[in-house]
Amino acid sequence: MSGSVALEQVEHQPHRTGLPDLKLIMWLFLASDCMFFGTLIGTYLVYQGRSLEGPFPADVLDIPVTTVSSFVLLMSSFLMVLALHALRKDDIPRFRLWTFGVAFFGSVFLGFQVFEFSTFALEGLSLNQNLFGSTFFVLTGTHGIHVTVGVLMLLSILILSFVKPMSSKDAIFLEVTGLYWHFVDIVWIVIFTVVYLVEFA
Amino acid sequence: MSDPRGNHGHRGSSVAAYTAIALILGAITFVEFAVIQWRLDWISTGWLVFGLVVLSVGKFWLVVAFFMHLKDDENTYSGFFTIGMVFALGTFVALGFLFTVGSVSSVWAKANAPQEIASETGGHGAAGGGGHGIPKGIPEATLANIESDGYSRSLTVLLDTPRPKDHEAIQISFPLPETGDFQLQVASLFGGAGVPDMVEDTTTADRAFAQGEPGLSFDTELGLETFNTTCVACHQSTGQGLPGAFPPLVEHAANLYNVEGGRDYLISAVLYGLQGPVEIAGTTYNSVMAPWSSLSDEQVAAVLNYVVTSWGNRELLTEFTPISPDEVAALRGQGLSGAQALELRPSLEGP
Repeated sequence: MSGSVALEQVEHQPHRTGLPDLKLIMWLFLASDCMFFGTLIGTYLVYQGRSLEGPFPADVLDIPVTTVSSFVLLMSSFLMVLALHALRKDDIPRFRLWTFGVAFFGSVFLGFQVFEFSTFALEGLSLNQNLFGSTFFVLTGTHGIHVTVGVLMLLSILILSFVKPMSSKDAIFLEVTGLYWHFVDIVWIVIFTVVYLVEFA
Repeated sequence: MSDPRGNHGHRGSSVAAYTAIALILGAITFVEFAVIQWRLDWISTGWLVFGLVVLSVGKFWLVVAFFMHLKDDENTYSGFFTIGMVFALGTFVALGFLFTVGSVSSVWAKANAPQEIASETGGHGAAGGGGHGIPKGIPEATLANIESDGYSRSLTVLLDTPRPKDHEAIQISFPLPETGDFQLQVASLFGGAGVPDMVEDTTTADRAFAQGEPGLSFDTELGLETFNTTCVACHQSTGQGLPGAFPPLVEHAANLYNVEGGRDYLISAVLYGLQGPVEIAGTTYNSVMAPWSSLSDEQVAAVLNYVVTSWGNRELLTEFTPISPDEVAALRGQGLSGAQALELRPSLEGP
């Protein structure tokens, strides 16, 4: 990592908060992202049941498939804590394995989403077909972009670990990426319930 | 680690603990799937939604507390996250209130808002998921006035809110269609809840409006009833529509009726719906009207006759022969799409 020496120096400087800057910034970002997703989910809800033309949610949403993809994303979060745990113990092979696992599971989730979106498109649901299409694609699409960014961050860390040896001292980078990853996971927990499950309740 | 705080996160968290939490998360997900896939009849929808929300919050908390280590980490992080969540929920509730602007039910939502805040019942509609904010009961209300200028009429209602500091009654005026059954119209304004005591005594102003006009043979009551169940949500009880979203029927429907091909276009629009851009009085509308082929021939004819003779439209008609159910029947069964129906639209340009 080219900037690791400089970053280490930053780490050692005294902080007024006494907390690592990187982590503080990530939590601030996550707080703002909360509001972002709050708006999108709120918009989905106020337009729920107001589509004049189909396809309607009950026509296209697939609970078994989405349950599997939700499970995959949850388990990626599990692998994420294992990866951080391994790096903190300087267990580099395990750290690489689990980090790759997280990125892989994230990609599987994205694959499910590509499958879902294309199925919906074939059934006639597009961004401008009806209110359901507009609000659904904007909400889940934004979430999908978040997952994609997370996968890229994880792969970057994985590649960097081969370029320059990593140790427990660099755990902060993985920890912050992990916070982002878990956040994306909890957003999906809410979407899965609000958009998918409640529709069939 | 140089920073001792860095150890906070994984103190007490072992691989075994993480695995246990992952298993619980997986199990909850399976339960969520199971209750939806094998829907048990004895669980009501309300309880099922409640249960799903509880499970979801549980998963949320497990990930945040243990995977994100917020439970054992610095309070500053928790504070940030809490503020974000509070703002998100605030946005959420505000959206639920804002959304109902512009519809008849919103008038009631607004009238009821002070009461809801007072009784701490919280937001309606959005939070319930799919609710439309139509209040169940009617607040203390007094019929204040029915006004008529011989052209249009309106009903004014005074609402007494139970807020202790605010004894001022809220006054709301509703425009009413100029023909048709007064009680039915008022009842529809009140969300179908009925207002028998208030409007039993119809005033002289109302009697001035006879059922339809002499010489017209169409079912005004059926027309109004159909309008209020099918059309009112978008085109509004005033026939004004919603600018930019739903086209107005005032003037516009009369103009269409007057030109050649307009009659058939109006019928097709109801039967097959519409889709595509259309410019009306300088405003472009590009939305979708649902097809209403489920209405009977009598209902379609009645509602169109109602529309072209209401809100002052009657005065704009060059001549008026009511649309008959037979005309509707003749245009049925062509299987047009909304876009194809729009192609039938006659030009309103010219003389």
